[in-house]
Amino acid sequence: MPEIVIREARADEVVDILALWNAAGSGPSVTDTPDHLRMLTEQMPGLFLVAEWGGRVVGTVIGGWDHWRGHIYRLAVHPDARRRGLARRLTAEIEARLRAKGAIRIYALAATRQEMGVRFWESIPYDKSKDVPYVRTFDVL
Amino acid sequence: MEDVLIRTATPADFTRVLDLWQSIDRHLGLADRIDHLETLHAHSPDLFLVAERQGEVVGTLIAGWDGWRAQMARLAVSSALRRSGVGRCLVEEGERRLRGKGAQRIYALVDRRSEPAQPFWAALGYAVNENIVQYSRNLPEAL
Repeated sequence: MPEIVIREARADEVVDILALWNAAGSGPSVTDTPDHLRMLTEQMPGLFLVAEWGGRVVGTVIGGWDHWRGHIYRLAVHPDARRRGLARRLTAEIEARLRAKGAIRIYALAATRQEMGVRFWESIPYDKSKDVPYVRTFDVL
Repeated sequence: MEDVLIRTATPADFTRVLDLWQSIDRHLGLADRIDHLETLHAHSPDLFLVAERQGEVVGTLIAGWDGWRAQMARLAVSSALRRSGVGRCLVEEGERRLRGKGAQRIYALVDRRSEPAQPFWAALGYAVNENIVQYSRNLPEAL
């Protein structure tokens, strides 16, 4: 079996990433389009990561740093690649990159219908927020 | 509201910003430090807003934008000016600036103990996202 490698996402694999999110129950949202993800690979390459396993994209994570707090989004692992510690590796890698940029407090958004997601976050040293998540979606200006 | 000015925060405001936050009862995930405000100001000066009235800082908003999602943080209004529209003006200005950066999804994590907070965000067009749970961690100095 080849090793699973974590690396920065490339513009030519955004369709694979969207398929992985679909398979893993992550999203979708208004920004789940090939064009938007291609833009992301250009604008925040160090914080948009994939896990590659024998030529396949089997995991993702997006890190966000707004110069106030660090954020983790779209932690996703393909069902075929579960139970190998991959979510933990992706999280550790994005945490290290956010820390290097200056982030201390990290917020992670987990999808409740992505059962692996909530179970994972409960298993590592993160606290579940009591706050209520409100969101508003806008069209592109 | 006529005498309240919404403007970009400057370093001269920072101690008054911290005083305002200190005056508000809230749960705190990370102690406020002036150097965190300096970092924010150095990189995203236009997304750190204050409301000023008669020379006093009476409101704040950090409109966080990380390239993927936007987050409204530290929306604060001094107790004397609650329900006067200052919060709404801060949020609308924050939204305008965030959309100018390309933000499409704006999150506001709302303290469920704050009675006016939930109707406030609902009135501004925000809806509870039942599909999301937020987790948090303060990272150690070295990873």
